[in-house]
Amino acid sequence: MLEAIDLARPPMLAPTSLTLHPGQLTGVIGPNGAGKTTLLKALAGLSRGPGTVRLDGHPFLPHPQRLAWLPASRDAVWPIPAAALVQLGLGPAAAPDPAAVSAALSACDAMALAHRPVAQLSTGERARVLLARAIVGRPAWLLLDEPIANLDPGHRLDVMALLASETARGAGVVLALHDLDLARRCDRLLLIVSGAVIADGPPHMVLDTDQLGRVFGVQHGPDGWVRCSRFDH
Amino acid sequence: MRTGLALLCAVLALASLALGPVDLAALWARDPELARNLFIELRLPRTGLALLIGAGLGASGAAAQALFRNPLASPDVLGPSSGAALGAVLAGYFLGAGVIGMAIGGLAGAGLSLLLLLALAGRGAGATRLVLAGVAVSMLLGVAINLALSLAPSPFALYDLMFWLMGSLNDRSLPQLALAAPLILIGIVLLLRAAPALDTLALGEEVAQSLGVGLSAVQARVVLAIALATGAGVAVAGSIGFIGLIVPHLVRPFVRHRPGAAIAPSALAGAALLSAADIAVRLLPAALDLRLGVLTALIGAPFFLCLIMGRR
Amino acid sequence: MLAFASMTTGAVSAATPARVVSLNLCTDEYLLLTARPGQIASISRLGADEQESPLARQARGLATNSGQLSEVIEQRPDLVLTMGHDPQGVALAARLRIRLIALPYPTSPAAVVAQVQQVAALVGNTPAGTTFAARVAALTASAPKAQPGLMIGGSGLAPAMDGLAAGWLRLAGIAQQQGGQISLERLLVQPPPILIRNVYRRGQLSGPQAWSQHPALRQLRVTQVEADGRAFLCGGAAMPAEIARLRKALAT
Repeated sequence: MLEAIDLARPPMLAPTSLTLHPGQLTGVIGPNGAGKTTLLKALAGLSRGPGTVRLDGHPFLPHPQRLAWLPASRDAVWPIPAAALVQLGLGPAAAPDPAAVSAALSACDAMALAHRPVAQLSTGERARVLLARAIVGRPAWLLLDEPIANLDPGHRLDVMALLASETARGAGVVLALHDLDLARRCDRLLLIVSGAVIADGPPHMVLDTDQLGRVFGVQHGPDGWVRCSRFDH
Repeated sequence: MRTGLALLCAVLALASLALGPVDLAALWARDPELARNLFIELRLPRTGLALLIGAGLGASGAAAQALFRNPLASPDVLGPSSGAALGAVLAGYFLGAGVIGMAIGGLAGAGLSLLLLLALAGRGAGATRLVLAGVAVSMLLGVAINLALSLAPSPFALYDLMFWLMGSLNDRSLPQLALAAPLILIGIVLLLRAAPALDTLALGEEVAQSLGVGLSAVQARVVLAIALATGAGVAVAGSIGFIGLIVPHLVRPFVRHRPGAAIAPSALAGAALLSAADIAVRLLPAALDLRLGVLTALIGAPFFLCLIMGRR
Repeated sequence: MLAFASMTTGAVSAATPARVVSLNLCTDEYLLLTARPGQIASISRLGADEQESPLARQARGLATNSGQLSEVIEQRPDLVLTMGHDPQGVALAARLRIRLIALPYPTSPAAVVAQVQQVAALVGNTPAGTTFAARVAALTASAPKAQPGLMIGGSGLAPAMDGLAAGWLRLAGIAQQQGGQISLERLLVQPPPILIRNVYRRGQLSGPQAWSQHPALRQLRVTQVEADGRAFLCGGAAMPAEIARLRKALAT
């Protein structure tokens, strides 16, 4: 169980209390700059500020097996081969584990990239390798900031399926995303606007027409998503 | 790779012990006592210092590039060399310290310059800010050295500036080796112990933090280790540049570009490279009178340029 | 042979200038040797520093300058002496109509004698120059037979065999064996019969001075004598006394 108690990061995030459960896929949606990344980083224990985060009742220290964080940025300074990079996800004290690395790479459809230097991959390829890095340690919690942002439609579906299987093995997954269609596949959605969670529940409830119109200025029509005025709702 | 490098170091060490203005073998036949003294007091310190200072510079270069996530980082740019020179100059000129005192001054100078670096950059600063702070500290210290030597009581102090800017291993003594050796070795060991954390840092500072690598702690440890690994060397032999910059680049392709894993082979490669350069200095015609620091710059500067061009 | 490349500017003043300034350590020494008290308006800092010149004690109470002409203008000197190449000083002196004489670096004891005589004439004390010349002539006449030896300074640098210092050493009975950078190894294996260490600023250490403290030198079993580095800085007015002292040290 991952709990946030009055977690705040002024001015980006207002005091928020949440309880997240393992085995669930939780999506975090909201307009740009709403505070999605701030919330995720705070939950991951990567930023300092008011409020507490508890893992299974205790304040936690970061550890490869407890929690994995995947930031939105895809930059890679060193041309490390993908397999070696994924190995680093096991943590500084880990012994080499080629089996785990291969499993993670194939789960992300990146086995073909195993020996290619990360810095030379396309953004989408790199995104898959970095995701493999995040799951390789089979952590109890996965916090991912826009993991599907650079992926093509096929791989997007693949990643959502992968995350679903992670929850099936008992992990808790929280991801920030902009794709409202894929957001429907989550078990739970948090809608954040201007630093506050204004909706929290199953997708069909959070993604209701009025909310979407007000928050994003879009509505779902027969031909897909279209713009609408925010003030019609 | 490590065995290959270690063997290379051994070969170069033997060559270094055997080379000199005097034919040691012939002398041994004539006057073994004198040959022994020459070997212990002159050949041994020179060879030992070339290996150790080279190793310290190589390891520090690899660690600096890993910590700052920048392939152009090196002890030359970040300040410890200038700091060490300043510390030694202050100890020698203004405090009247002896050779040992100057080495301690050099160490203190390197450490203080790196602390200044961290203070300037701020706690847990990103790579860019650290490198910029390092350049600022380096420039500041360069000016300070000039100032110190200009204000120094002796008008001939400015001739010493060349010694500090372009180092040399000529005629180093056993006490100098005995002083520098433990400090450099401790520094290298600390850097080796930080290698796994530095590898993890390649994933980015946030991700490394989430994997349990405390950024501030790693920074402090690595900075202290670099001060030890480079400061003592500078105090004893002057500034020797470019080894710390070049060697990691030569070595990283063989460790799959993992920056932390490059530290150990960089130490060996640095030892080999500096020994080779010092041997070259001794083999060149005497008329040239090329100092070691000048030679490493002559090799290093074009390499550095190629590096920059290659990155475009 | 006497390089009389002095650059005289402005009108030639009276035979005895009242206010003479020196901007350089070596001309400081010339002045201290030849000028009358009260004639010297200012000498350089170095000339008054006991760590730089053996004649510094004579400079007690004198005003000092940092070697820049602009600093001494307000003292309205009749004559300014300096040594070496100083185009800016010369140009400035010309503009201000100050008499500035820049002596060239002497390359032999004979040149030093000529310069001392020249300065003595300039300050209106020719006898002082004559005395100095006589002293050096006496030293030259009584010079012991030259034996090979080696003088070494900081960083293991030995003065050139045909230079000013070597010229003076001959008057002490030493023929400088070698010049330039001395290899410590060669020094140990082929030691000179006599080693003269040029000691300058003993208490103050710097990288190059560490050379002279090398432990290997302690094992050198040759006659070792110390030379006063201060006198050899200029190799000028202070040399006769230093040569006499060296002779005594070498005789023991």
